[in-house]
Amino acid sequence: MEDDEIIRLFFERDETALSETERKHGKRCRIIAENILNNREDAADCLNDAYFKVWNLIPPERPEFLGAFVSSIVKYTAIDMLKAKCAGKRGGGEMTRTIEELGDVVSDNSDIERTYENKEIIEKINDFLEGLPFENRKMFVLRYWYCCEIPEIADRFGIRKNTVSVMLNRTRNRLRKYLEKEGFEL
Amino acid sequence: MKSEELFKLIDQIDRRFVEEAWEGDIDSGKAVEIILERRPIHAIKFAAAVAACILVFGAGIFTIANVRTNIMSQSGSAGESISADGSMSESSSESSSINESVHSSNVSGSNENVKIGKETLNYEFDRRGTITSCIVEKKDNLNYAVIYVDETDASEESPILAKIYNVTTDGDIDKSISEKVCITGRGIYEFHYTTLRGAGSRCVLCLEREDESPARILGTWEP
Repeated sequence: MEDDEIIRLFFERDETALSETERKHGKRCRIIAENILNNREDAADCLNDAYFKVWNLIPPERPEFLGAFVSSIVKYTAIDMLKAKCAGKRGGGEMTRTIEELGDVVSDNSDIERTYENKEIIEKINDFLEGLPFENRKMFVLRYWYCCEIPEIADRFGIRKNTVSVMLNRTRNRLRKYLEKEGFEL
Repeated sequence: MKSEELFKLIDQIDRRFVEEAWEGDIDSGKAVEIILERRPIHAIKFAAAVAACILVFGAGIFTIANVRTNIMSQSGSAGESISADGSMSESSSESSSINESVHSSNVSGSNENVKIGKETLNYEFDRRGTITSCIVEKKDNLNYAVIYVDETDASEESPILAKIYNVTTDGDIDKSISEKVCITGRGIYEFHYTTLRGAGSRCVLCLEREDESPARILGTWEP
């Protein structure tokens, strides 16, 4: 079923909207939840919570990309669950590793978030992603947005894990240089 | 900025990229590997060059050894030393043909065909010059094309520029987002290009001289 059709079901308050959402976008949602929470049972709870939130958000929301919208809700729900579970400690899941990798791009003592508007930086990151070749962009987003594991990305691309790591490393360096060139002090 | 903050910022990127990353299919792992590790193309060229050098060098030593053997076995004269030079130049042309055969194994093109993606178009090549045999292999969904150039009069002095332009739905060519590749002879040329988003837009491959004339369209495809 197409996304527009599923959204129409949400607007009609037809509960098959949820099963269709699960059928179409459930796989990626499950991967996000499992990668962040590092636990299948927690991930299942997270998905239930997230679908309930989606049910309450649509309507009035009418997302342009339903898959990205639902994934986003799943991700926030999973992060909230992880925070509650770990009470301030890092979870040790894939999210922690992706955050650590992003340390290549920025330093821990920079004041960038106070110096610049978030919107401005996000715009620049979007410009950077736009300029990347498709496969580099896809790899970057899978890793740092979806928190996908390196072996999983390697499987999707049909390449070696080491190649993925090298490509991600290069893309992070390019991002750092790009942001610096754009005048952001990292 | 801490990496957590960057993570949060990345979290807010354009949802278009998020959707694309999950939904956009990879054509084939092998194709991607070529792109990701495109150095092997250079490595193959480098290896071929090294192999050719070794062969030339080896052939040269072999010839010199032969000549020396001849000189040792026969009575030496000025004429024979000239003939030794002759054999040297012959071995050099031999190595050139070896080099060519290594090169042509990379060029899988058949004459008079332009292959774009899965489609092979018969194309009447312009006999006045430019490229007379070439294959364009477009890697689906990867914004990446490989041109196998077989016969061309392009050279370092008179290169041909290959460019991929976008054609809007109105039929206008958007020249601002083309990446150009300089063709200077036989070989494999690869390039990435940017495609316009939206239904109906197409790409065209143009070949033109450095002065931008004449533009020659070899084929079109949907991005």
